[in-house]
Amino acid sequence: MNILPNEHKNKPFERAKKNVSSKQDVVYKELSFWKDARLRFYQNKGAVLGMIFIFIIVLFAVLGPLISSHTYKSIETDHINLPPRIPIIEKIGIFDGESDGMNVYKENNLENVYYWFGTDNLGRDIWTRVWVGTRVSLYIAILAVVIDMFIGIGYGLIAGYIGGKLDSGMQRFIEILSGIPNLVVVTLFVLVFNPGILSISLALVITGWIGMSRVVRSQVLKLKELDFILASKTLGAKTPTLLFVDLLPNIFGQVIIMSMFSIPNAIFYEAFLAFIGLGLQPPMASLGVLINDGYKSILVYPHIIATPVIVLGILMLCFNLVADGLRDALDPKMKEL
Amino acid sequence: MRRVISLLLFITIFIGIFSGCSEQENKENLLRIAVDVDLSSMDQNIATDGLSFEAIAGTIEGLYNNDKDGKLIPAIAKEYEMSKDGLVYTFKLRSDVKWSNGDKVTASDFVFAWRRLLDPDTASEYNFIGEVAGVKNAAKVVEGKVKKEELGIKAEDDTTLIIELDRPVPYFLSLMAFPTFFPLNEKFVTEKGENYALDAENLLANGPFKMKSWKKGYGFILEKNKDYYDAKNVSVDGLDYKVIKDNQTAALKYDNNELDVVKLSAELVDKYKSNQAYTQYAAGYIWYVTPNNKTELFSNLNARKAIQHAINKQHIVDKILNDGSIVADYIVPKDLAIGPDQKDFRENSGTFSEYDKELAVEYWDKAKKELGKSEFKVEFLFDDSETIKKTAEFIQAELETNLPGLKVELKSQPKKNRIDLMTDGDYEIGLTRWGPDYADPLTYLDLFLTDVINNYPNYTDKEYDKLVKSSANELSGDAKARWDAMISAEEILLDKGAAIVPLYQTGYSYLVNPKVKGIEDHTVGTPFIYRNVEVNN
Amino acid sequence: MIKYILNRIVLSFLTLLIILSVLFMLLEFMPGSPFNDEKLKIEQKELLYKKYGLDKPIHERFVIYLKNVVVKGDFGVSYAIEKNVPVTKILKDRMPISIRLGIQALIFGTLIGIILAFISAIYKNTIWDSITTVIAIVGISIPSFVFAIGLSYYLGYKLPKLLHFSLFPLTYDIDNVFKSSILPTIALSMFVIATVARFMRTELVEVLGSEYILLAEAKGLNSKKVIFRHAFRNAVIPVITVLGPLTVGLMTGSLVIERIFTIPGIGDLLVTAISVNDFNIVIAISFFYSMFYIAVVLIVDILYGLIDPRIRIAKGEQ
Repeated sequence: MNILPNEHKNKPFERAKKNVSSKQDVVYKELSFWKDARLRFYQNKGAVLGMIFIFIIVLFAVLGPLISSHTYKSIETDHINLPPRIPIIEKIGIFDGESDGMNVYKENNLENVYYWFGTDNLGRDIWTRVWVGTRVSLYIAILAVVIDMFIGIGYGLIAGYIGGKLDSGMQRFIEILSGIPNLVVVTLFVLVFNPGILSISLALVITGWIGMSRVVRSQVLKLKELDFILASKTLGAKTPTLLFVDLLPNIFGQVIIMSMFSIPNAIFYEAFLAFIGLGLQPPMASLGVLINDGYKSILVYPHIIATPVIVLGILMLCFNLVADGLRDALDPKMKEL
Repeated sequence: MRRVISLLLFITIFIGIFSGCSEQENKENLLRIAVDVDLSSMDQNIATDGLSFEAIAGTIEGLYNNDKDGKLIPAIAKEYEMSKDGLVYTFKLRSDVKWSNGDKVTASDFVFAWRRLLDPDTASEYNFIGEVAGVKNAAKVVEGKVKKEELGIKAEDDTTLIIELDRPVPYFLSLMAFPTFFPLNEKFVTEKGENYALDAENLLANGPFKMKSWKKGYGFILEKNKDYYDAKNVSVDGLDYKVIKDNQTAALKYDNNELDVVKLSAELVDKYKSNQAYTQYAAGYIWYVTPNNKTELFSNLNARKAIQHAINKQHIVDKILNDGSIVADYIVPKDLAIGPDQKDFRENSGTFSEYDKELAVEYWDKAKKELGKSEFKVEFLFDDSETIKKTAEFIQAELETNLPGLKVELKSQPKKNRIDLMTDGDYEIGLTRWGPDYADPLTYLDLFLTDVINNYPNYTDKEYDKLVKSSANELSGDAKARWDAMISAEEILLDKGAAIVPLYQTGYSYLVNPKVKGIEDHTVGTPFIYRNVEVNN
Repeated sequence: MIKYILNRIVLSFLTLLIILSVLFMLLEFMPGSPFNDEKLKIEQKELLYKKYGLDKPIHERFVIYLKNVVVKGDFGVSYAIEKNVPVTKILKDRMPISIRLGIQALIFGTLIGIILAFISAIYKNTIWDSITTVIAIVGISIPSFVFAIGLSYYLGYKLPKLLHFSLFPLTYDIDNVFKSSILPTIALSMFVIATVARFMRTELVEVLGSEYILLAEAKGLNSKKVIFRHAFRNAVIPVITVLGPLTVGLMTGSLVIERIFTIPGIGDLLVTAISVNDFNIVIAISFFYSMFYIAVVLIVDILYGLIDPRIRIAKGEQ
């Protein structure tokens, strides 16, 4: 957007007609911003790798349970605590159903049974449970972030656009709310309203939207003084048009960055809550619930906790990488925080 | 870079020095015990949980004690006399028992402690036990209708204690070994006021051990009490309790020889089953499925009978719990009470509600016909703790596969909620448990009397009520008839009425250092008594 | 400036008051009681409620509670974990343990974080830079309890089995506090290391590119001297701003890490209190956490305003 005055500087005597084309230039530049961002994003190896892994994990989360002949809650009473065993790969000595040097499958006369990630204390297939759990964890995170987005954008737009007394009142409210550590809010909310997908998501929203609204508000404050808004106003645009057509698209990049950082945060809090005993109702699984279950027998059957922990780790890592990449791509000037 | 490296080097050396310290040796002859909960109270009138009772019973003695088989042996009481009508007990006390501050333990210490227990201001969670014991005016004192001085207990002199009862209570003596009935030193307790029993300094002992230190959340040490009248028979120097909430960690510390007594969780049992330290102890809790007899489906007798036979309890015990629990086809636990013929209650009573798939289907079909429906959906209520979840999930699968047309939805709630819901009758079917308060079948049979608050299945049967009530009252004098009445009451409850589905009697698996001998376990009252423990180093 | 500080302090107290009220009200909706409901008869429950003043209507109880907290600093007694013991007494026993662990993790984490930042800033765009970047992103992404589980499994369990010798005690040991706090400190500090390293690297890179560094270099100072003399100070100051998020990270981490390493601190206590409905303890610890957090944020803001006036202006603009 700096281009306009620069052009004026270089060619001080251009005719006003030229302005029309430079206006089109702005439109063109706008498009190229996204293109440019995409290029920048693809250059970031970490971010691309993260993207690929997220895609793979999501794919497994969707398809994984379908491949298996078990459901996440079906119990096979004779197949409890079996270590992982995968056909073909077992020949090279990993995932061969051995634990402490004994093939548990052979000992229990289960020669032709294969559990890719093993089974848990109840004889449930961990493969299915891990992918269903991933699905649930992602679902909670995305639900929380989407609600965050709506509330945050709404609040930020109103506060920033109307400004004045209303704005400072709204900011006081945010200041008070953000004074409460989210650890306390989330824990107590879930404690009181009982753990469930919705209650955990909502608990995350209580303080989650604040960051979003701050970003939106500061952007609105910055943008609303700019010329194009003034132009739009003089052309007779109504407030909704100004907000949703002129302002919102310009803020969107920031909002996306914020939400990408919120997703791993939400996944983490879900796992954290499960780990302190505020997880989902059984037999529902989420990554946190699975980790908490597996932790109880980590010394005897480490395979039960291994997969959910690994998936959780990869997922968190990838979302962070992608968020980093997006930030660098969409807003190179934004400081690392 | 060089600075960085030297700093890292420094840190490594630093850590190295500290790790070089040698492991602590067990110099004293201490028994090192891991517990998985905090010690919640050392005040016998406040305490409600097993660990607290264990620690209190270690430091304070009452009139009687339990030996290793659960039989009563005299402690502070030398002998007793019972009046012919069974309403007055006169205890003769030993005169050589001392509190750790040097005061003598006298009959009035009992009077003070009992009055304090039942005082409404104390609001003891165990104050109902006074009424259970039949002590005269106990209920009225609790309700605040009469002064606590009118309680049926008095000290004739320092060594004579007289207790009056409202009614003959056949199991009265056995209650005297329960920590709630232990004595307290009035002077000391009054002087300490609100601070009594809050830490090691504010405690007195008259028993085999006294509290040396109590680090909240970390552990406590009971050391041998040299002033104990039987001190010569206490062979350990003390008991060192460590709070380790994770059983796995505790087991590891056992492996490192840092602990002697460690409780095992189900997953760990597999690992240690063949270890020579592996020990199983029985506990008195019975877990049972309670169908709400007031709901549409479970008002039907055959439907209740169907679920009685549809659950493979052996699997729960072997595969899910795997901790020494045993299948319960009964409601009055094993090793709880000994009858007039000196045999365990279970030896004379029957078994009910055994797992039998075909029989279950047969009853189920009958029920479906009687109710005129073939599809049913019920909500299964249970606590949200770990093993219970697993058990509930297993029961869900069993009921759904064995009883075609039954759909079971799981509803887990925090324990307190679950109990509230059950008390209000606001549930369809659920999982609950009961632990004994005293060594008599009545502690269980009482539960299912019409309109009793803990009667979760809302069971009601006139004959049952009559049998149970008479064994608490009229039959008190006739031990044999009383025993028979209770045996038939259990049969009515489980067979004729099919009120509930007993699942299992809990047990615990422990690792106990083979060098340790003489740990006494009990299903009722104090779970473990360490008075006669020996550690042969 | 003074007006700004006063304003902030008043607002902080207001926030704390609101937090306390919300905590109190929220727990009112919690089902069940802290007592042994399984065995209690209605009459006994009534006695207990009367004893602890729980039978009064909520607004009356709230006023009493507030008065006790504000005037006497009395948060009531524990109902279940340590029956009848004043909550403040329980916290007094446990708080130092948690604070010590937090401070250890903070110091250790900041040190390592700064070292990593320097390595990656000095050796920018080399393999060292990449390695530290990877460490930083891993540290930020992976929850501290996953580290804790890993550390206790491999260093606390597998390694001793291999060596037949235990380097680090698995649990908190009162006779050997430092040694037994090594593993939890490392687990807790991963987040600190990563945050500090990431943040400081950006600062350093920016500072190193600034004109006065160019000037210093132009004067002929060698680059390492430049970094330690000139860049260090200016790059370290902004690290203060991440103290807020760091405190939250440490508090959250302590909840689970204290459970994993059986440390008798307040995090472990909160988890237990939640599971047994010990309301007074839940309120007190939540309140303490909030207070601590608010204090840190407040101090950071004030400090920062003092150190760097530009920030204040920029904040005003936002």
